[in-house]
Amino acid sequence: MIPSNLDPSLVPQGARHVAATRHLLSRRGFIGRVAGGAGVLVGASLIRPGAVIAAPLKKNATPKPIPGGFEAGGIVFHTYSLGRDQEPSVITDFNGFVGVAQVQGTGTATNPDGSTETLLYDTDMRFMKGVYVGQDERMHQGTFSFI
Amino acid sequence: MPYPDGLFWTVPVSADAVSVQPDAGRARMRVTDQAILDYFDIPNALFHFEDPVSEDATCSFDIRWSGPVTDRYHLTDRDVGFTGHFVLPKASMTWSAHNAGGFSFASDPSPTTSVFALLGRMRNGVFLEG
Repeated sequence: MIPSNLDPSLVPQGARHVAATRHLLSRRGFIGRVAGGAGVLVGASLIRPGAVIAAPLKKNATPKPIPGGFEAGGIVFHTYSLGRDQEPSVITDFNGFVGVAQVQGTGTATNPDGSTETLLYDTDMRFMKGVYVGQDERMHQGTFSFI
Repeated sequence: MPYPDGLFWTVPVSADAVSVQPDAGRARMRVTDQAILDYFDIPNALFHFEDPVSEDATCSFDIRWSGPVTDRYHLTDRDVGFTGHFVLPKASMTWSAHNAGGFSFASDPSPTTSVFALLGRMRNGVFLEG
């Protein structure tokens, strides 16, 4: 679910997120939290791996991103949207199992003031499990979650 | 580069977090208390311009892929650079998260709707021609 107040250029075509459908403008965070992209976005909170991505891995074992992806603001983000004919992996030089799940449902959000509300969510979650050539150009075995 | 080394919204998890039987259309991914960052909104998640840019957070989820398998196919896309055998089953999940600012979310036990689900065995990059 993509809110009408979000710049469409920031939303990868076909991608989905956990989305709030109530009180979208009641807090700063609600506005963008229902945006597109990839991964999981829940009601009042867009929760992303971000900078912690490679923390448990040694730098040289970190996988390399796929070369393609979607572009926003002049930056290529190395993932494709969901779809039967789309590349599901975000890791290149990869040989293994993949899984993709776009699931919708409802949930309960609890705000810092203790108030609660029912929200809809829409997720794009994936896994990649197999062998890959890391940034050190060596082969590794690993399991990764696209959140 | 908005993410370390360009890898997009992806974290390493333990090998036993994922079990998969793609031919049967079955798989499960279970992760508990995964450390992540809450970027508040999509534009900030992509470009990191808010102050503070993020809050510490954790999430837990349990995703199950199961039948019926509605399609099985082989796909090779040499323009994008991948090939694989894929099946289209259904998926369901439970999901929860909380951030350091006091916000939390937990999915309801009510049934979820599987909009799109895929399992497969694939290769890309240097493995494409393997």
